[in-house]
Order: sequence, then structure tokens, then C-alpha cells
Amino acid sequence: MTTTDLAGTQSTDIHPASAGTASTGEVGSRASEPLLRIEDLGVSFARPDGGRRTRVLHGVELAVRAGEIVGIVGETGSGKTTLARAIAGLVRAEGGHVRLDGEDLTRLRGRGRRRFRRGGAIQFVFQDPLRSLDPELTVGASVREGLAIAGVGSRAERAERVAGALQQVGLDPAVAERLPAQISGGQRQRVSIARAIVTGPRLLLCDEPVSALDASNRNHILILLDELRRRLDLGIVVISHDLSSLAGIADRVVVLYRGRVVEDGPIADVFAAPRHPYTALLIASAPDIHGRDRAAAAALRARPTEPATGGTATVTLDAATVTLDAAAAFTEAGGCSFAHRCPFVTAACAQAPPPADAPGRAAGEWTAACHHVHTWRDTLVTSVDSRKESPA
Amino acid sequence: MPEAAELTGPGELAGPASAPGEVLLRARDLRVTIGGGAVEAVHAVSFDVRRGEAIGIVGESGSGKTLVCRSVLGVLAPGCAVSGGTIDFDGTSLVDLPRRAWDELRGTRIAAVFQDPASYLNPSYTVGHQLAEQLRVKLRRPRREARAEAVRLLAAMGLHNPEQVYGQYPHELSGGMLQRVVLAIAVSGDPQLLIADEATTALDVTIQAEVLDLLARLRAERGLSVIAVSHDLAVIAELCDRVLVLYAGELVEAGPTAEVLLAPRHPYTEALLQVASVGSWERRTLAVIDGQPPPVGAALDGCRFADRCAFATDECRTRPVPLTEQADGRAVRCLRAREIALSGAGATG
Repeated sequence: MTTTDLAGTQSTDIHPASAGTASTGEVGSRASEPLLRIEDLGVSFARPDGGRRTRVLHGVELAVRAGEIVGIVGETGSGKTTLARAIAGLVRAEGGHVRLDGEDLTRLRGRGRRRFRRGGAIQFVFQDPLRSLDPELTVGASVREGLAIAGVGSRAERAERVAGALQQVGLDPAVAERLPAQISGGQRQRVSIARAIVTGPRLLLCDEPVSALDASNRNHILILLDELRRRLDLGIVVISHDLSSLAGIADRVVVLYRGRVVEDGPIADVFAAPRHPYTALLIASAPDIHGRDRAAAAALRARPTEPATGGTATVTLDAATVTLDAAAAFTEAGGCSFAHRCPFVTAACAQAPPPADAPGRAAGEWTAACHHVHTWRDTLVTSVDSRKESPA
Repeated sequence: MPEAAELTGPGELAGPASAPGEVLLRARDLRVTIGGGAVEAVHAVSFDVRRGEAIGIVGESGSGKTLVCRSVLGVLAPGCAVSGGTIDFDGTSLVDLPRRAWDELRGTRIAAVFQDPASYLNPSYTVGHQLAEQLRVKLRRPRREARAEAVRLLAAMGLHNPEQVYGQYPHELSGGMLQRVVLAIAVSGDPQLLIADEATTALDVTIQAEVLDLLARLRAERGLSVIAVSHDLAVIAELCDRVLVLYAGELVEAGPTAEVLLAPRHPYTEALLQVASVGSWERRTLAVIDGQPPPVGAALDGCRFADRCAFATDECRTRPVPLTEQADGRAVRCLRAREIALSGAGATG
């Protein structure tokens, strides 16, 4: 068994608990302007029946620096894949900006757009390499394709770069002669990564890159991504529903809920003390070998009006009374996206909450979009206590 | 043996406290072959499931965990067969059980839930219809009674508005709601044993937590025994009293879940723990298990894990390693179990 201590590979010896923060700071000093900056990005999809378009992303803000790994978490339908596709220009942004190295990608049209795409500055790695690699092309041909499209170099130069990319991802260049079906799942995901880095991209978008792999292979791929961002100074976005795989490598985490960013901050800080009720619920829900805190998870997901407890559907906080139906209406009408599931909902939640900075932190370093960001945790303690006291 | 089925009616297993410790399912030297009998993929696996107990089976892909639980359920894929050993379920031998006897057993005394609930429901019938059908066919309830019972079951699974859910089609429900419907179908016959094969793997983490809570409640209320298969050790830790660790078709370690995970005695269990999500978020260590498991069915003289084991000696490779039962209810298949120091889930990495 091999153990790679990621914190230890950094130049300074960092206390594990602050590793996420520290590495963000270190990378930040290297480049002041982020590699990727997304401002107020919105995306909506047309309905098949021609009705009102469905908004799937609302006012998303995101920054990724060169050499930084940013994790995006969220449940099914939260818009994480749409966000990645919008960054790559695969779905049209409706308002907002996606800037890579200062160039606004949402403004690219026609020839400029084609040139940008063929240049391969943004590359994708998908979940299932069996489906993202052409089964009839050898590994070498799949990796080479991107270079051919970009029109890079002579035949010999391309072959050299393909071999180089395969070596970068820890594969024997002899694998180039094989078909995807002839290699293992872990090797196939390495091929997808080789295919992505061969064009010398600045930004890698990885959509669930490890969820099809078992734990050992998962860690192999995560270690590889961590090496690549250091060696190639790549910005990497990793989309995952699995919080624990992000904990291993990401510097920052962005939590999406129903198409809005609800929390964005250094990963160690967010996991240690989440500032948004939804992030807290996600973390409390993750199964744990030492036993999950079931009471905390239950308190965070309980609307105090579960039918089991009976009574009318009301929640009280700050002297405001909100019915469950009203809370659901807040979410529907463009208020707080989490209001319908939140135990801390008040009348204020009818308005979408602006991102609030954490006290004592630089602007934008750690934000949470919740009206009760400073107070909900106190309410949680009392609600857990009262649950213990009341007979089941 | 249909007589045996009549002896234990649903009434008898209502009390979860009914004789805890009594063995419900006993598998001995279970062998499973794949590829039409050419390759043995599960080698002499033995285990007991007691009444009300939940056991978990963990291992890498290809370790044989799904073959073991499908043997118990009698639904091995074509080309796979139980080639040796016995499975005794409450007095009934499950090996070579005729189809008709299986029909008496499955759905009423042994039930199962799998990873993808949508693929187990018929898209063209409402979920309530499919649940009521179980009650009519398996328990021979009259139509009207079956409907009322189905609505009660949907409510018991924590579904809000059960009357409305009854009339909905699978595509109208989310993954978590569908898994609750499938669980309602599974427990509708008041089974003694529930087999959960990666039952929460495809669910979002918040939904997974709710389904795990539901399973815990069903166990407590109905005295269900559970065999859970998962690649996620944390899920097994939450759900199961005892854990079986399979490696390359062999049982390498077994024992109470908390103790095995806290203080593993087999290097492979230790390796699984190191690569698993151990839930400490500040941890920045990514461990990997070097090498690959041996090919399925490979004939090896010694320990099957030896090539990937940091503690392996020449002796490990020369002769088969027996599974050693230990006094504290644990068992381990390792020659050096007593001398090597493993750190377990307590390690900070």
C-alpha cells in the first residue's frame, strides 16, 4: 500500500487542519487574477411544450486560479453538470460572463469561437471513459485526435506528444496500441485524462471523474489530478456528489443548490464549520465509519411540521411565522432556493439571500447565501435539545 | 420443503426480540462458479445471519460479494451456479431449490432491494398498483384491502401524501422516493431476511442518509435480518452489526463491524479502510492499494492477498492460509495476524 500525503508535498509544512486554506493562499499569491472568472452566469432550458423556459442556473459566481482545484458539489438536478457545460460553451449562457485569462467566452462567435475550441484551452474529463472514448479507436488514436483537430505539428511531433501525455498520466506508451475495452477501468480514466491534457489546456473540467471507480482506483486518479495541477499549473474543476473524494484534493468547494451557489469557501473551513444550512445537511448526512451524527442530520432536514408530530405547519424564528406552503412558494417565486427544505426559514427568505462574507475573511474568500448565516446554528442547538427532551 | 414455510408464519416473527442469537441463515463452504462452471469465483465462504441481525459484505469489484448474495436469493446470472456447500434458511436448503419453492420463499420470507430502483419497477403501471399487486399475489389479499394496506405501507416508508404517491408512475418520482417504494414492496410480505445490494449507492448523500435511517427503523420495528452489500465501508458501518470482508472470492476477515473497522486483523481490511472515505474532512491523505487482485479463479498456493501485502513472507505463499476463528467472535485468514500491527479507522493518516 502506498500513501501520498498531499499536505506534505507542499513546500512548507502545513498543519493538516489548515491545509485547504493554506494551499489556496499559496496559489493565490502566484497569480492575482484568477484563470477562470464567472460572473452572474444564468442558463435556462426551453420546455418541450414551448412553455416558459426553466431556469437551471441563477447568478452563479465562481473563480478558479491556475494550479487550483475547485470542487463543485450538489445533488441531482442542482445544475453542476450544466455549469461545466456552460463554462465549455456547450450550452448558451443567458447573461453573465465566463472569462478565461480575461477573454469573455460568452462573447465569442463564429470563427473566433471555433479557433478557441480547437485550441483546446478548456478540456473535459467525463465520468464513464467507456462511453467517452470511441470503442473502435485505439487509445493512441483517441489521444491524438485533439492534436489533429488543433492542427498541431507534424505526424512525428504528434506521436511524440501522445507518448508524452500517456507518460504524464502514468501509462506505458505501449498502451497506445490497445482498444479501450482491452484495458482496466482505472487505466481508461487515465487515457481520458491524457486525451484532455495533450493539447496543453489551461483548465480541466472533470465531471464525476471517479464515481465509476472503486476506492483504490479513485484515489489513484485523484492523486494524478493533484500532480497534474502542480506540474502543468492547470486550473481544475472537479464536479462530484461525493464529498469525501473532494476532501482529498480540492482547495475550495462550491456548493450548488437548485442552480444557485449557496456556499463557496476553502474546503477545510467549509467542512469544519459549514455556514449554510444545506452544506451542514450534506456533511451531516455523509455516512461515517465512526458513526454519523444522526441527530444533527435529522434536525437539519426536519421541517418542524413533519406529519408524525402533527399540528399545523408553522415554523417560528425571529417572531416571524412561515407556513410550509409559504416556504415552498418562496423557493418557487425566486426567493431562497433552500427555503422549502430549511428548518430555519423566515419571512425574510422570500427574497433571494445575497452571498455574505465570513467575518474576518477577505471579500469573496468564504461566502454563504443565507439570511440567517449568523444565527441558524444557535437555533439548531435548541431544536436538537428539545427533540431529546420530547418523548418520541 | 413447503412444510417448513408453513411453520413460520408472519405472526411469529413480529417481535424483534424473538430469540436473538438464533441462526436464520447458515451458509457453509459456499462455492460459486462462473462461465458455465469453468471458473470458481467464490471459494468456500461460510457465514451465519442471526434473527434481527444485519451483516455487511465488503470487498473490491470482483471479490464475489454480489455472487454470494445472489446465491442466497437464488438469482444467479446465466452461467453462474452454486457448485458446492450448503445454504440453510430457517430449515430450508436453498441450494438446488425447485422454482416453485423459490416462489413460495421470495417476496414473502426473503426480499431484496438493488441499486437502481427505477429499473425494478414497471414504467407503465402506477407504483401503488405494483405494490398492491404484491399484496394480492403473494399474500392473497382482496383487491380493496390490498389497496388500503399499500397506502399504509407507503406512509410507513416515510412518503408524504401516500394516497397521491399510490397513483403516480415511476417517472414522476425521485430516486429516493422510488427506493422507498421498492422497500415498501420488499417488506410488504413481512420477510425475515432483506438483501440490500448497493441499495443506497445511486442516491444523493442526503437521500442516502434518509434511506439508511429508514432501514434502521424497519429492522427495529420488524425484526428484519439484513444482508447488505456495499463498496462503501461507511454505509456498512452505519447499517450492519457484523461485517464480512471478501478478497478474490475468499472470506479474509469477519467480526462485529465496529471492532473490525477500529482494529482490523487482516492487512486487506486495513488497506480497504485506508482507501475508504473515513469521514475526517481535514485529512489530506490519499492511500492506494498497489497492484491488482489475482484473476478470478486463479489457482494460488498461498494467501491470495500476498502479492499486494506489505507483511507477506515466503511462508504466506507456500501453503493455503486457513480462516482462524478467534474467541471474541472474530475470524481472520492471515498467518501473521497476531504479530503485525494495524492501525484501523482510528488512524489519522
